[in-house]
Parts: sequence; structure tokens; C-alpha cells
Amino acid sequence: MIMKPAFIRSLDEKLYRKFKSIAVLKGITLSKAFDEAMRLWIELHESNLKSREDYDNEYFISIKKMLDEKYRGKYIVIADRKILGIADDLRGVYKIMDEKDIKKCIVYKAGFKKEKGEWLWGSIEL
Amino acid sequence: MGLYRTIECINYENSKPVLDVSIFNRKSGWVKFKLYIDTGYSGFILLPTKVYNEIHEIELPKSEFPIYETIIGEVIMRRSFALIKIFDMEFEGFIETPLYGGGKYLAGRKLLSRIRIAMLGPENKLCNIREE
Repeated sequence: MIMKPAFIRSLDEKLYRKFKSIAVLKGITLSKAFDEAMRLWIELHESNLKSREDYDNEYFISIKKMLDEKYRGKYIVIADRKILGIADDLRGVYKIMDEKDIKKCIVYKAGFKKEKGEWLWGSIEL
Repeated sequence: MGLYRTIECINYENSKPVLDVSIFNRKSGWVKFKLYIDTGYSGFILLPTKVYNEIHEIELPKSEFPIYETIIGEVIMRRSFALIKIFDMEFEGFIETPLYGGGKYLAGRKLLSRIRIAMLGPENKLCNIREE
């Protein structure tokens, strides 16, 4: 998809001249060179960006031991690196989410071990 | 073992036993799915990733995602708690999808262990049963 012309203010003139001259030498248009540059820049930085879930998970790991000891069997509702509430069941979790007006969150049932499962051949035919 | 009576039956689809399952989502309410019975899948409910992304609300922390043995090696599954309704029963369970995409509509062994059903092969029906 081709977008409308974009105006970029305050580019480094020296850098821009060099960029443009390389594009000319390579025989590609300036817009193609920008596309390539943006793609490379995104590849370079995207993998280093952490999602909100990554931060919440880091926070969860830091408090997991305490949760297992203190709240065994309870549902712990976590979002934005905070415990938003503790519930006895899923209805309670939904209530906390409604009260805090959040769409998605991470929830841990304290004291339960991480599981190993199996997904065998039969599913291929289904 | 006592005597059991069939209460409600679902016709097989393409000769495969299926279950009608509803999953609760605060925005959409109870969303109905047809799941194939798969005793090779040890989990609760497996969904295609796109469907899972639309319906899940309360996911486990990443570090708690379960790992499944498959024919192509270990696969990490995303897992979300969910309220589930089958026939007239409502209970808490899980929905899952592979972390790196894929998935199918499957009812696994964990779900099957929670409900009383009978598969009537010659009739091509899966039925909810109740002890008399």
C-alpha cells in the first residue's frame, strides 16, 4: 500500500545527503531506500521491545514465591505490574476486572505447579 | 456402575464425535463452539490462535504456560482460565492455543474427565448421560 506524502522536519542534512547519494548509486528511488531503512530499523529494535505482558510476567516471577505461600488456591489478578485483586473463583476475577475497567490481565492460581501435557498423533486427522 | 439414561445428544460431524461447548467472554457473553473429541490431547480445550485471541481474557503468566509433548517435539501452549458451559453444567477450566500459532477446535482429556458422556457409535451420536 502506498501512503500519502509525508513531511519530515529537522532531518540531519549531512546524513540525508549521504543517504540520498547511496540510493542514487544503487539506482533505487528515495522512497524505496526509506522503506528499506525503516524495515532494517524495525528489525533492529522490535525484538528488544517488551510487551505489557512481559513486564507483568517479570513482576509475577518476582512475587511468585510469596503468592504460593500466602494465597494458595486463590486467583491473583495482575496487570500493569500490580496485584489488582485476589479472588476465590473466576466470577470474582471478572468482578475485579470490571471494577478496575480492564479488558485483559494475567491471572495466577497460587500454589499450582506448571503442567506438562501431551498432544498426540490422533489430532492430525481431526 | 449404575444405570444411565441419555439426556441430550449431538450428532457426529463427518463421522467424528463433537461436543457443543460455550465459553464465557465479558464482551460477547457465552460463545458457542463445536469441538472434536480428542483423547490424544491431554488438555482442556484447544482453540485456533485467532479464536483464542478474540475470546481469552485472563491468561496465565508466560512463565506458567504448559509444555506439551507432540510428534514434532515440545510445544509451548498459551493458556487462559475460562468459564465453560457444556449441556447444563457450568465449570471453571482452561482454553489453550500454541504460543507460535496454529491450533484446532479440540476437547481434551481434562475436559472429558469432568463430564458424563456416552458415544453411541452406530447411531453417530454423542450424548449427555445421567445416572438413574
